[in-house]
Amino acid sequence: MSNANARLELERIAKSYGSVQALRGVSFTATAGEVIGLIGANGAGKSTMTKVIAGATHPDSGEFRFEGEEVSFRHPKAALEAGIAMVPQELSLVEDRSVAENLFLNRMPSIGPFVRGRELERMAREALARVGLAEVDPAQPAEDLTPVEQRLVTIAEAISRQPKLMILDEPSAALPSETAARLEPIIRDLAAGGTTVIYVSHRLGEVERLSDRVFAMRDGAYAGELTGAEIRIPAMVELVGGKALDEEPAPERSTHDDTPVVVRARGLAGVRTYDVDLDVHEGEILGIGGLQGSGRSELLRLIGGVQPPAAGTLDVLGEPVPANPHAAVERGVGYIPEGRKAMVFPTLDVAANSSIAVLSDLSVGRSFLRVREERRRAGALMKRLNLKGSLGDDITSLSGGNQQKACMARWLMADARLLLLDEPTVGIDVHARAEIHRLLRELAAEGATVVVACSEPEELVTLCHRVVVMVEGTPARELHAPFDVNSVVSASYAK
Amino acid sequence: METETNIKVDGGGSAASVTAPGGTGRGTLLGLLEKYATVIGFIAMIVVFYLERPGVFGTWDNARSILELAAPILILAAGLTVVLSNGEFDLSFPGVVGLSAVVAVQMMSDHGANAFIAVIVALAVGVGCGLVAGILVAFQRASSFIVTLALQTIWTGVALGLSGGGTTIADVTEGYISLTFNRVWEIPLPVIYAAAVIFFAFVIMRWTVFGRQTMAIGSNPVAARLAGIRVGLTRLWGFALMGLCSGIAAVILSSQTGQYSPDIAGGLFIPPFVAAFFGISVLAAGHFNVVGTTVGALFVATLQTGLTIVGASSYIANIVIGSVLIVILFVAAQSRSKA
Repeated sequence: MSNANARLELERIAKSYGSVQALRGVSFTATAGEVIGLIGANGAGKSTMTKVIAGATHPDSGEFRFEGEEVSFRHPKAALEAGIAMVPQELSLVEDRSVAENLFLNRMPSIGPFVRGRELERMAREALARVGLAEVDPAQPAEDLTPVEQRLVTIAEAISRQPKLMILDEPSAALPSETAARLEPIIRDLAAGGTTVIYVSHRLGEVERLSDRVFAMRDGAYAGELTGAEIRIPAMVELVGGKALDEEPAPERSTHDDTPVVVRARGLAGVRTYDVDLDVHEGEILGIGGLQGSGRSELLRLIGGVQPPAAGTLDVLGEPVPANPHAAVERGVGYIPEGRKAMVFPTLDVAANSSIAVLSDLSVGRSFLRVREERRRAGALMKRLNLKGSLGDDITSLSGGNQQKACMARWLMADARLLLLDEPTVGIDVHARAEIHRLLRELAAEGATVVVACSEPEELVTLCHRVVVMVEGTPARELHAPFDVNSVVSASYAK
Repeated sequence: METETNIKVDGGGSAASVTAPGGTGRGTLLGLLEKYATVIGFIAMIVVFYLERPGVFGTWDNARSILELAAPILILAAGLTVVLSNGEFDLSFPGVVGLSAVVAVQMMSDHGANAFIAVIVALAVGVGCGLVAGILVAFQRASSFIVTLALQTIWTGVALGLSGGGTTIADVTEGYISLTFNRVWEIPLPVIYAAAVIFFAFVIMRWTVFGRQTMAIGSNPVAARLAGIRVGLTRLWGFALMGLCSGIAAVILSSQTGQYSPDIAGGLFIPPFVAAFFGISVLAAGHFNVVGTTVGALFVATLQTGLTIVGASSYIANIVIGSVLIVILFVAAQSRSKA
């Protein structure tokens, strides 16, 4: 039964990977010019769904109609030719090639084997103007662009194919929220031109602002839809999680001035940071806010002994800053960098990923592993962190949130007294995120000290006792709980 | 649970990124085939050789000579597995074998040392060479591929120089020859040494802090450093172990032939690599592992022996073993990307 207005119609689409059923008969329709927010927890089936639509995977059963016609795409190229473009989450730019070449990598204007350089430049300028990058020189290498510009280039690449339907998978996940806003007018513009947009995101604020309709998934199945005025964050959270999320408790007033100082920086400088004076007290959750490039992450690396300071003094847990991560770990510092790429050991299982920092403690004579003790302690932590999966699972088979929990388990097992986290909940669904926040609060209450570098003001507000806002490499303002999102944002632009 | 595309995992040399966990097709026919492909290939090869020369290939004598041929390959491949597991390469071991052998033999021929001293010196030379490679790679951040390529030619040159331009030195003691000549319960001694080395390598990689840290470094060196692992030191010890294994192999080879000759490590360059890379795909492990390496070393020794028995010329054997290495690399890349 074909709906005459529908551009895309999926009926009872099912897809299994081995014994795992990723899609259990999902039906989905989309019309021209519509922006559909596709939401769901990690592992809900959003990715499989978008892969089916973009021809990257073939459904086991179900009907798939595009523009009223039964289709069955064998590979992404077939979908692309039919007018379905997908912008994957990972940036797929050839970094040392020019912007223009990246835009038209497989479809260069040419005469015989020779590229028509001027025509390529003209086409590139046109494509860049569509995404508000008119000022970017098409000849410069893609790696010279800022992250948001790189993201916009990948979107421009898709737009230049004049798709009838475009899928954007977490386009803003790697972007700080202040620059992610640049994507929104482009998406509205695209839809106004008649393109159907499927927008996958964990950032519900964006989804709320952009979507005409929200399609929620849970456990590989349809979980509900919202349209128009129904599209509100609490309603979306309820659909994603199946139950309303308990409002996270606001942090209490900061009362840590009387506890010992764990981190003391005076006149500290790195490569981008300078003149940092900072005291962090035991049991405190300190947030480091600021725009991208303000030195948030570098400050965390300096404290963690990952990067040596250029000037100033820095004491961590009572002694001068450790010279390297090994010394830092010995002293009780646990550093979790942004993105799981620098944390996860893909060929080790979940248990080995959590125990890797404490192997000496888990051994006889610092040599022979006590494997049973290792498994026992990893198992206990998995339970505490509500980590879904089993000890022997490949770590890469877990969802992003669960991988992040396994990384946190590593420092819990090491009894880290100072935890340094860079963007701890990027790309993680709201429920896992609330669980991670709860855990950090518990750890702080037990006497650990937590320092979080974070680009999202909302996260700083819900999590931190105190926030230091960095502006252009130096602390500009300090906020004590309770504070609101606006005060963080306005402090970020101070100066 | 399906794997979300936003899982940004791509550490070390692994190509694991956006594969759904069920995508390996475990349990399906194709998955089983993938898991056992290398083992099936091994068995098929034995069957073919057996059908070709049943009177020769299927005998205990032949099995024993395969094992004897496999012994030095097993020992070198065990050390190589440790180095490869921590993400480095070693191309210098044939040179180390030659240098250890010439020094051990000269200890007896020129300095009247007994077999025990000769063995100790051979092992020490091996470890020393390994430490040199390790220091250059681990602390000078040099590419192990190039450094060990250079060391290979240096060690070979030093060995030639010590032996007076590459003359064969045959003056070894009786005791030295008996190190490999005797059998225990019909099993040649070199096979027992190889079994012991493999056992220790297995224990080290599976049940020690060093082994676990080695695997972690190979899996994701950045994450390993952040987790507090001393990446350089661990890699250094890996090279030292490889050197030790080269020393042991040198003793076995020079004891078996009763001499040092310039081509003592001839033909031993490629087989350990075949063994280690074969090991990646044994049971679809997806990473270097000692058990897989053992199967791989037996595979390559069986192949070499089989080719000799069916009367293939040595140049044919070269071509076959090189081709096998390439095929194995493809299979290994497959099981790596699925891991």
